[in-house]
Amino acid sequence: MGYGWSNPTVFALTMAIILWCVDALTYTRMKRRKQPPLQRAFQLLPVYGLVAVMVWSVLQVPTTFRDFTRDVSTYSGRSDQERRWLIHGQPYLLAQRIRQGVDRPYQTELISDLDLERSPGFILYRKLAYYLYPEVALRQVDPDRPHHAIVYFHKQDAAQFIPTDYRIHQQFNPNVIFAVKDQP
Amino acid sequence: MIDYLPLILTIMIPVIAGYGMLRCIVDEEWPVPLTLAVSYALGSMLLPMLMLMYDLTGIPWSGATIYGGLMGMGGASLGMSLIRGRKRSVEETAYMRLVDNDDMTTLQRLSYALLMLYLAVHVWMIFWRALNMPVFVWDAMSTSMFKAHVFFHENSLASLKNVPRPSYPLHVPLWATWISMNLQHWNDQWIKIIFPLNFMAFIVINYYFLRCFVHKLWALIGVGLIFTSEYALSFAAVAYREWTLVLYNCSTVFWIILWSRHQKNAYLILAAVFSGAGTFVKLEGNGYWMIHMFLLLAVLWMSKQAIAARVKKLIQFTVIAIIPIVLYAIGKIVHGVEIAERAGFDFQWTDWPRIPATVKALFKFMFVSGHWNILWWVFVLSVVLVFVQRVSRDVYLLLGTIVLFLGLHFGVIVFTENYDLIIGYYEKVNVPRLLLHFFPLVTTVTILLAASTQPNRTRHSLTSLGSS
Repeated sequence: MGYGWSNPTVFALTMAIILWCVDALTYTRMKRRKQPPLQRAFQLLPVYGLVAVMVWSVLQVPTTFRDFTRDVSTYSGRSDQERRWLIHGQPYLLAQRIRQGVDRPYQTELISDLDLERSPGFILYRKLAYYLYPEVALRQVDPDRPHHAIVYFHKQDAAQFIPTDYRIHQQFNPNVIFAVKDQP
Repeated sequence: MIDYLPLILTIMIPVIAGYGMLRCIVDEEWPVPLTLAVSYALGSMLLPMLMLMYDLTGIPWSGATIYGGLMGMGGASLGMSLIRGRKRSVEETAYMRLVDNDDMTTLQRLSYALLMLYLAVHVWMIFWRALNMPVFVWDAMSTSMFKAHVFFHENSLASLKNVPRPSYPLHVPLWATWISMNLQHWNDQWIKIIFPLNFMAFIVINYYFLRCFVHKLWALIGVGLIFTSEYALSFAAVAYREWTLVLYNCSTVFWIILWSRHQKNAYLILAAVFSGAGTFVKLEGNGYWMIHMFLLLAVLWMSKQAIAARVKKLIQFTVIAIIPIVLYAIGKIVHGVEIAERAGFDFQWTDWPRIPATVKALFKFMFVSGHWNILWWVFVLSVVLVFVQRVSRDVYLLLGTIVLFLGLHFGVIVFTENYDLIIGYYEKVNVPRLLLHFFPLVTTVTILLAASTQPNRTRHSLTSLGSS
């Protein structure tokens, strides 16, 4: 969703000046009410504040509708798979291909050059794990069951890191490989 | 189209169970939208608790056992309320005390209709986004929906200790599991139906809370203020648990305040149930439960009741609210999961720079970030009124609660190991979310204070506002 104006401080100050001017213009009328000016000014603050909120909201309406129209045109009429692909991109496609290629469940670990605790690695890794499940368990790790597959994801020259008792099951490019342990 | 039927049933059965529970607790007549919203909130709490209890007692999760359990609970509660209701005469039937609307002008009615249209369009956009875009937000991909995915495929909590963040509360994952069980496949668009529903349930409860103080145009403006924050709205359409927590957290505050005004035990029981339910949504819910206790203590301290009666109320609240906490603690022990994750204090005096950094981050995301329209500014300006005119005790209680929320978050950020997770690299994501948990209290106070300055048309509401 869009945010319209991005600095509320500037907006609040602008509105404060405008509303203070309006208030000053009607000051004569206020004096006739014999209300202490300071008290009246304080009483006006919340209402003027709400007026400012409404002005801000009206300014946001075009952005809100533009963003919504964009979402509708992007996602409506598409299949669930297309929507996931549009949002998640490579991790979703990769997970789908790996899942389609396996014939049994795998307990898997991930090896990557990406920092998995910082963007973009941390979200790519979690998206991959989310869409690999249930055929390939990447983050739902059972310590009683040893790993018997490895996903090399954004790992430079991944093939040279594959252990000798593993073989390449699927290779997508030199940096993305799914390797599985040979059956005893 | 036929797929919608299980989805509707998935929601409706817990709502019916929640309605039974509501009728058992509340013996006054409520407007239909409020009845529906509170029934939904109660049913929404019952379902995951039931699934947790089944898991602990070895009862398998299936449509029959869960539907049976929900219908059993709902039926038993309704039966109890009917037996109790038969003892009352028609004249004794009480109605929720709402402010009268008879003197609204044509302009006010027109404004009400236009504002309602504005809100309806936004609600439609929220539902469209929720049901047409798959899960994509960080929390969901990383923990809540990932866990639900595992629970659904294993049809149990057997893998709880092996999933990421195992000690995190399970309200949302169990709901997503339940929806998937009914759909019989994992659909990461339709499981999101609960998020806009939680948002809407809260909006209705907030509206009727305001209606107890101001007439309906002011009440609608009050909830409309929430809709002016694009940030707050965006959370209603995605798989974050924030609005679920807001539903239970802020509603608890409302029930406690209504109880302090009317002394109807039903409000206190609802407060306790909602407060306990919040602890099963997010870890923050445990801290908010303590704030609810503080608020209740403040109300009891100001009460003119006998000490014994006050102690009884406090015990009643505590016993009910603690049930989900105890149940989940047992669940964690059974599954070998750490009980108190992320609760360690690690502040040392060398960490003092945390204090200005925390204050700076809170200020930045309240006043400068653009997340909340200019509502925090308007709130601060409105609070000035407290010093120049008489306001009701309820407003002071709400203000005190907001201060407690800010204090809690400040304390948790500065004095615990969570500092690095909230401030710094992640502050853009995490600080506004913490503020969202009590943001509706800010809009509520703002609207109550603004309404209190208005003469004539809302004077009757001011009478009620200033009466306590």
